[in-house]
Amino acid sequence: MAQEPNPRYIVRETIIEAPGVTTLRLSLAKGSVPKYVPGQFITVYAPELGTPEGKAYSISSAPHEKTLNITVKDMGKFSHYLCSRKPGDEVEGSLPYGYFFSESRTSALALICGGIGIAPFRSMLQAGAQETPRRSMALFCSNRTAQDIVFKKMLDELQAADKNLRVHHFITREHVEKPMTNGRISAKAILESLDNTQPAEFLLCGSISFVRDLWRELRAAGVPEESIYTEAFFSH
Amino acid sequence: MNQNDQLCNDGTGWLYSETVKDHFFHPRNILLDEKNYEADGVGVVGSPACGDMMAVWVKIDSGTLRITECVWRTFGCASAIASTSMMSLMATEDGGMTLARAKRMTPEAIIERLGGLPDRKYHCSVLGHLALREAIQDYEQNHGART
Repeated sequence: MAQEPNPRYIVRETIIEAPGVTTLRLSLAKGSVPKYVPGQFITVYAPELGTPEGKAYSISSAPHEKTLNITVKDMGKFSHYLCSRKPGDEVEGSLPYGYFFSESRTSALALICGGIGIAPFRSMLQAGAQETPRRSMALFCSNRTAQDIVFKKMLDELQAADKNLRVHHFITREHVEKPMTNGRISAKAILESLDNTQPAEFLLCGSISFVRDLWRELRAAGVPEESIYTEAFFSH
Repeated sequence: MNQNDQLCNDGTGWLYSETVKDHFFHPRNILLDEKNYEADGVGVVGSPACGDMMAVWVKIDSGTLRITECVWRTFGCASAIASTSMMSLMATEDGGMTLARAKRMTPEAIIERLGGLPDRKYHCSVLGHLALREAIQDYEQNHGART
């Protein structure tokens, strides 16, 4: 069976989000965007870089937005290539794929990310603000420094506009004042922050070690395995 | 996790745990020829051109919506073989996982049962559970079931 060729996306705009972090706003040649669910990713291909299998990038835009966005941290040859794209450039990528999303529309959501792991949560938060504004959502965001926080302004605005959304920043490599927290995210901090009146689901996104450690902590704290969703990436 | 397992989860060591070695050398539920295998759902992810390919076939008890059989075949490395072998075991043990539960299986749960995998091999554990997820979706689409 012949395999369908991968779509080619056009870079419509690039946005510097934080030091070393760039959002690429993409659409197909005629300006359309393939359907997707917040939490899905596309695999980007650049075989000339010696990575024929491509690399997966979470979609950071929400389906109601005009472009399909990926937000990339410049941490290696492949990501540097992407961060260097200019408007009008073509990028070969797959259609959206993946299962990193809650199928419930009512459970409370704890979105827990390390660094650039915030990308799929931007999509979920923007979509949630449109479609399920009454849903209880809490974002737990770990970064090395306050300057590293991606989408900070958007998070502040969303939180100010939605009393059901709480954003908690944890900073690991510099001292910060409240409301930010010094140190790593812990399962204890997450569980203490949640409103326990409704069942919660936990979505973890970050480096493999970040996700593994918090998955273990949440399990040890009694969170059922089926309430935890994970998406991890290799970051060395 | 085997008592003798040496965790290799820091991404720097390449020692495989005893459990990983056991599942690599003695893979459970492998299907070498699907010609006469009548599955209720099939999932295929990856492609040989990309280096890894995984196919999973499941049989489902339509009354209980539990997985009664989960067989697989891969064009992949030792970690992919061990991860998928363990995944197939987890999906069918104790009377079989419900579809709702199996859809929530994570690479972390599989790796934990394997006694760890090097970080560089994490993606190998993703293949099996994604193929299982595809197989469940295939079953749901073909049988009108939704869990």
